[in-house]
Amino acid sequence: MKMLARLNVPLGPTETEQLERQGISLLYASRLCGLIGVETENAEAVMSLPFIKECRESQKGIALFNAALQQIGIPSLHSQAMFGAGVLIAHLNSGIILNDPTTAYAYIEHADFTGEGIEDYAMHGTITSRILTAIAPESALLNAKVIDRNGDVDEIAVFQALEWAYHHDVQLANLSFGFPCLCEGNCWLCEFVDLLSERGLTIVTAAGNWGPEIGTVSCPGNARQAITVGATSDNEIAEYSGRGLPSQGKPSLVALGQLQIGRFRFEGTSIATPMVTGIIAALMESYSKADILSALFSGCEDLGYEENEQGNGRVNGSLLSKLLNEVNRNGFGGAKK
Amino acid sequence: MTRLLVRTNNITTIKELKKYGEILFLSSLTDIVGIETKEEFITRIQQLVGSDNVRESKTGKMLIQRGS
Repeated sequence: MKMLARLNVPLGPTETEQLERQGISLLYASRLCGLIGVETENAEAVMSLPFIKECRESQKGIALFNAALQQIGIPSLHSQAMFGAGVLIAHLNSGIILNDPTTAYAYIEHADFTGEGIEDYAMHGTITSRILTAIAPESALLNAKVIDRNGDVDEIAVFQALEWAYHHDVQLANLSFGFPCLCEGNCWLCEFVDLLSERGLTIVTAAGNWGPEIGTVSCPGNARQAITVGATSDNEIAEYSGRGLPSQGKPSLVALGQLQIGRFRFEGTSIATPMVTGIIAALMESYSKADILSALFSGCEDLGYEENEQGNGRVNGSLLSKLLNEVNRNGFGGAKK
Repeated sequence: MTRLLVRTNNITTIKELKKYGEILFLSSLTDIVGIETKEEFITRIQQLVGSDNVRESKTGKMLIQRGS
């Protein structure tokens, strides 16, 4: 346990020796005020020291990025040790920054389908992969670069990347891009996505930012078996989020589509998609993918919108894990733990 | 140059397609072939496989914007 303590005398050799005798590690000693930081197994030992005026446990701070993760229930998953260990995700995007400390460690394989090399010049893949590694930090990623430096993605590149990912035995694929297309799931790309889904690759894809008119879900979000993710903004369905055709069943669900990184705010279904992929990956450390996918839509919050706007509702990792725990307690389902 | 998606699973047809450009995608899972070719060959490819089985490879976009 880490603790902060306020002293009633300056910290000197006598006080330091007393800390050592109690087995208390001194982590920090302020030169500006009478405050020290310590680590100990025995909080009472700290409180009993004569030079300690008051003390308390060191708090956990919340970085701005983590505010988004709080909203979708990620701390609950992490507190249950669900970090996505053993899960392989294909990240079809604009590449990665090779020395990005928050994501580079996660990548085990790379392929470029743009002719530019695997680096991220569009600065899009870096953002979405940071979301994935924040939610499922122990998952492994395959970098499939399909978006070029201009933010464009060629359809053939998507076919190439998906097939490459399939042959690498990935369990999940994250597609934070779209092709604006009035399609009911019968275009060649959507059919290919359905084919891969039937073969066991779960494809999570964006609903597109061409809303709010009806029929604005982009491909391959129209694929029947894709998990198609719309976006929320300030607890409402984002105006730009793609809306499905009547009775199409799209989008499948919605997720937070806003992210604040420092003084920059990003939004889009690109942001919402890895929120869902990450949640599924994190849960896969404890539950089978089949059980997670069965419970996924029941673990969504109803925001009161039409089905073609919100799908099954807004995903929440905490709700979903409670649901899966109940299923497990009732003796059904294939829990791993 | 243009990129096309062609629907065929006929080996002879695929060999024929190679005369018109570079095969970029050949699947073991589906009968879609991706080819980069010159615009002047589009009609010949359509005649080879049927115009319903040929279309241009679309261009999509990443889905992010800077918020206000």
